[in-house]
Amino acid sequence: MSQMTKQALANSLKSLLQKKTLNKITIKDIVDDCGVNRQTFYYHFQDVYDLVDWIFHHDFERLLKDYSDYTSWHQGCRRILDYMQENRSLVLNVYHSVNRVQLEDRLKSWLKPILTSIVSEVAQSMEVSQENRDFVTDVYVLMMVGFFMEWMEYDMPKDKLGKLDKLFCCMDGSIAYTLEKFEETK
Amino acid sequence: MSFSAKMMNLGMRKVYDYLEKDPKTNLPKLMEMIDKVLPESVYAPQRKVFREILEDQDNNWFELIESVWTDIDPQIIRKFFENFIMNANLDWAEKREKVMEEYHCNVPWAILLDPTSACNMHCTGCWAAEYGNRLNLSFDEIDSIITQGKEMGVYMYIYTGGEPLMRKRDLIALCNKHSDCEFLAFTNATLIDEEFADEMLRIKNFIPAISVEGGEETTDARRGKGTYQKVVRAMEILKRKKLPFGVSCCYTSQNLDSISSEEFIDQLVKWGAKFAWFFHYMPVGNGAVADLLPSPQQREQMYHCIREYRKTKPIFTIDFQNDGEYVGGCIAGGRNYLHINPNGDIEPCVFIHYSDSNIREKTLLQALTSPLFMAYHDGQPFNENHLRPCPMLENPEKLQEMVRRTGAHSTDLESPESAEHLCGKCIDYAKNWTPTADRLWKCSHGCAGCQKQE
Repeated sequence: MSQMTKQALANSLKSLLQKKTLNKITIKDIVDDCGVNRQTFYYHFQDVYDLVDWIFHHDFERLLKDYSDYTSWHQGCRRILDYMQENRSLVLNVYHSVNRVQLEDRLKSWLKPILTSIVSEVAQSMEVSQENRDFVTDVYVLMMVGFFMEWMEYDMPKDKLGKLDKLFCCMDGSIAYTLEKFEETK
Repeated sequence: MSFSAKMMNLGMRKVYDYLEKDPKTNLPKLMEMIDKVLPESVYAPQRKVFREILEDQDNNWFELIESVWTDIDPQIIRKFFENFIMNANLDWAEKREKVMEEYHCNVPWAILLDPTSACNMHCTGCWAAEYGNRLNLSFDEIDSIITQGKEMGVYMYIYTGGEPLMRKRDLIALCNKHSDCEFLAFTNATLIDEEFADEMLRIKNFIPAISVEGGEETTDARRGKGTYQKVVRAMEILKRKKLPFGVSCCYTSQNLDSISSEEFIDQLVKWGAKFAWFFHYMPVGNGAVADLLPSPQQREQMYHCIREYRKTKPIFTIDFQNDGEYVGGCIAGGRNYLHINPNGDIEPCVFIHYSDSNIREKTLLQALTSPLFMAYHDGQPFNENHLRPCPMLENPEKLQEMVRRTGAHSTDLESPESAEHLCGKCIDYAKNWTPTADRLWKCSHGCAGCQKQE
């Protein structure tokens, strides 16, 4: 029941974004479109950005459910690109708002566990301290997130898939190479 | 917010991060730091009290502080720190001063309001039973009250009633919307279930003050069979889910012995209550009887018991009628708080059902500058002896005079009561209490006899 209400509010927001920018959309617009009262909105969400956060969280979860391990995460990244293109007005509105960090955080919280497991897998036979492993993980997470953020900065150009493949190509093997530099001498 | 206030804000948050890691060790260290940084005179009495608590870690106050960290969800403590310390006290102090300077009126620290007159119980002698569910403040009205309140720095909202939890979905929505405020509700607790407790965990800024009045037998006799067990069960849920709660008790000539007993206080601590608020019975309403008013001996007993528990029990106790000395007497009329009934009438106090303003016609600020609230502002304190704080109970002639002068009307929803009728019930009480109050006041303020004994 409450999931359905949240989804209905999310759909209303997405459809309103076809006509208005995010900063012009009020709670009243959303509840009028949705056919519920204000208290129903506030029961679930603190404000519009809280709803946006839920949308990203919920959509990413659905999108990436089977694409979050070592073998499938490349595919997961492509699905994110597709999703962002499909929800262009929502994503770009958030990107250009004070709440850009919501997008960054969402991407980070998906990528961090994946890259953590990749780094620890590669580092298995190496003598690298946990601190340095974490550092290397963060560098790669930032690289990936930066890639997505810059793509949004330039209004999501279409040739992106090719560049994503090149990015994976850069990463391939480089994690091992980077970790070696942090290897402690025995 | 000014730049220095922002820096202060940031600093306080950092301090909290530090504190959270290991309160037992870091609290005394923090106090040392504060003592080094702040001049001797700033917050001197408060600091002295804190230092005493921290120096000897075996006292009941330290036990209480420690129990908060072990018994309550850390995110809820953090939220409380932000909303209660940072907003409801520090930000309030700053904003309030500006409004007071401009309008020369009181600016409350807390707003009490009745979301509804409805209640799910029908206790003997309670006015809510007669009011029925006719009157409600709408979500939008409460939302507007809070929005107006925040502009003048009020971040503390306390629900009274009726049973506030009859409107629990709206209350959760309001907590969620105004996540920078702290909310408290006087409740019979029978509507607190697992689901509601989970919602409390989600929103983090709602604290119940549960009505209890003695043991199983007396509770069930007045409030219906099985009530006591329902209340105990609600507290069990709250404790298990690491949610904060307190209790509120109304003492009368009938139940005073049981409520002031050590067994009762120990039971409250065992249930997990972190605070206990005590209310002196008030003979408000045409049907209210004066017989339930405590005698001077009984009130003195309460005075001594609560002071003793404050030195020995790990629970924060206040007796609103006997603790005026800590807050400068009467706190109503917007000096620290005001009350809005489910009809929208803005009243000086939960017990004073007279008003000259309604939230549906006036803004909060207009109400605070209305004749009735200004009469409170100009008249406070109503007595130099803070054991006689109230313009009704201990100084009945004062309320009569204020109501007459300002033309305030009775807001009793069932049967309007004249100020003469109400205050008439207090005249004998006030006269009988005065000698005891004066003796106790002298003793606690340096009477020669007591000092010799020390």
